[in-house]
Parts: sequence; structure tokens; C-alpha cells
Amino acid sequence: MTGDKEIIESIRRGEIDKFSTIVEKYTTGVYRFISLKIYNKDDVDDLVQESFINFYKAIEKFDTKRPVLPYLLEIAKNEMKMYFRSHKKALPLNENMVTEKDDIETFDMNILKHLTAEESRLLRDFSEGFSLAEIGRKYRVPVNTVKSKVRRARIKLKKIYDDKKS
Amino acid sequence: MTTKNLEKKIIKKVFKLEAKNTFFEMASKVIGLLLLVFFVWIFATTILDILKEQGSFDLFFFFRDNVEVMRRYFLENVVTFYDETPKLLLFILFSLFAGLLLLVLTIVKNYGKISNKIKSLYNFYKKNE
Repeated sequence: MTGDKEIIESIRRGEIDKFSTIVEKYTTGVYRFISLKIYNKDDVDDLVQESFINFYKAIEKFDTKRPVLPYLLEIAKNEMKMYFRSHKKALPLNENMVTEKDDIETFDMNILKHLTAEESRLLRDFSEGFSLAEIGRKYRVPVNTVKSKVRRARIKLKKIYDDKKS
Repeated sequence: MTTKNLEKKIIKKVFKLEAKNTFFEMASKVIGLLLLVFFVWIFATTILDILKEQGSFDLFFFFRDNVEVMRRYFLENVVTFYDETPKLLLFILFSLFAGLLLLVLTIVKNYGKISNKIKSLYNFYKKNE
């Protein structure tokens, strides 16, 4: 059975049909990874496709000593970040907080001003799909600290919104 | 979309991307090759015409004379010939020729890769038509 390293070297020699082996091997894994954070099936399909296409484009530079799946998942994660940014995902708070789509953006912008820079940063990363563990690693802070800060920021936001509403 | 359908869609997109890239790569190499050959030819013929008009090639007609005369005046004639050559045009000609050589070497080096790509693309589109 040919390993990934040999397959990638064949692809680099122009045997593009070998890329289908990579696709068949890893599509399910990448699909599952993306569908954990994104619920729209069509968007998940698009992101999976983009992830493989970007991997193909970067295949000349790929270090064959590394395993393929983590690299693919890294690409998938970047695709998801761009997806969340382009969709301007509203903070995953109480559904009753907004009634119309147009309200979402002004709601976020105005209310985020009341938070500290740290709280805004944490909530923004959280709403973009980063896990608490990833946020903790990014800012070098224990996961439980991230958890309690995110929770406090959300409570603060809810209070501000409830005050505005009343 | 089932995973199988998604896989087919990914492979189709990759082949479409590669077909486009291969076409542009081949087209740019062919155009580059033709342009370089054309300009090398233009500059070479221009330099030859200039040297003919100046009569610079007369300097080498002394080969008709005896060996002793040839040996005595060879270096001096070569230096005079070099002084009479249009140096800027010669520099451009050598640069173009070096570029042409580099392009030819690149094409030869990548011949196998491009050949494999074309074969893969042909087999894929034949299977899916």
C-alpha cells in the first residue's frame, strides 16, 4: 500500500490522478471536523472543497515528513475563520436578543464598546469558532480562566442589552 | 451531498484547476520561446549586417596568406575586430541567447512532469465524458 509521501511525490511529478487517493482518504475526516462548527451542509461542502483545493495548490511546498491530515485540518480551520469573518457571525447569545437580521450588526458593534478590549477579543474569537482550549493557548491563559472570562463577558453583554431594551 | 459525491466534486475542481494552469504554463513557454528565437535572430542578423557594412570580416581574409603572416597578425586582428563590433547589440544578443538557453533547459527539465499532467488530464476527461 502506497504511503502518503509516495503519493505526494507522484503528484509533484505530474501524476495528478493520484490526488484522488488523498481526497478519498481524508474527505470524511475534514468533513467531520468542519461540521462540528458549521451547521449548514452546503457551507460545509464548500469549505471541504476549498480546503482540498488549497492543499493541492500548496502541495509543492508541503513537507512530506509531516502527516497529511493535521495539515489539511489546519487549512480547514483557516477556511472556517474566513467563513466566520465573511458571514459576520453574531455572538451566540440568547436568540431572543435580536429580532431582525439588520439589527445584528449594529447590535454587536454598539454593545461591544461597553466591554473591555480583552472581553471583546475573547468573545470575538469564541464567536469565530475557536474552542476555549485554543483561545487559552493563543493568549497563554488556563482554559478555566478563559471559560470564566467568556461567561462574565456574556453576562455583562446580556445585562447591557436588557438595560437598553427596557 | 454524500461523501462520494463530494469527493467527485473535489477531484473535478482540482482537474479543472490543473488543466487551466497547465494550459497557461505551456502557452507562456511556447510564446516565450518563439519571442526569444525571433529576437535572437533579429539581433544576430543586425550585428552581421553591421559587421559586413564595416568590412570587419576582411580582417580574417588574411587566412589566405601564409601561416607566418597569420601568426604575426592574428591577435592584433582579433582585437581590432572586437573594437569594431557593436558592443551594446552584442550584449543584448548574448543576454537573449542566455535566456533562450535557460528556457529550453527548463522545458527539457519539466518535460516529464508536463507529459504526466497531460496524460492524467486526458485520462480523466476521457473517463468522465
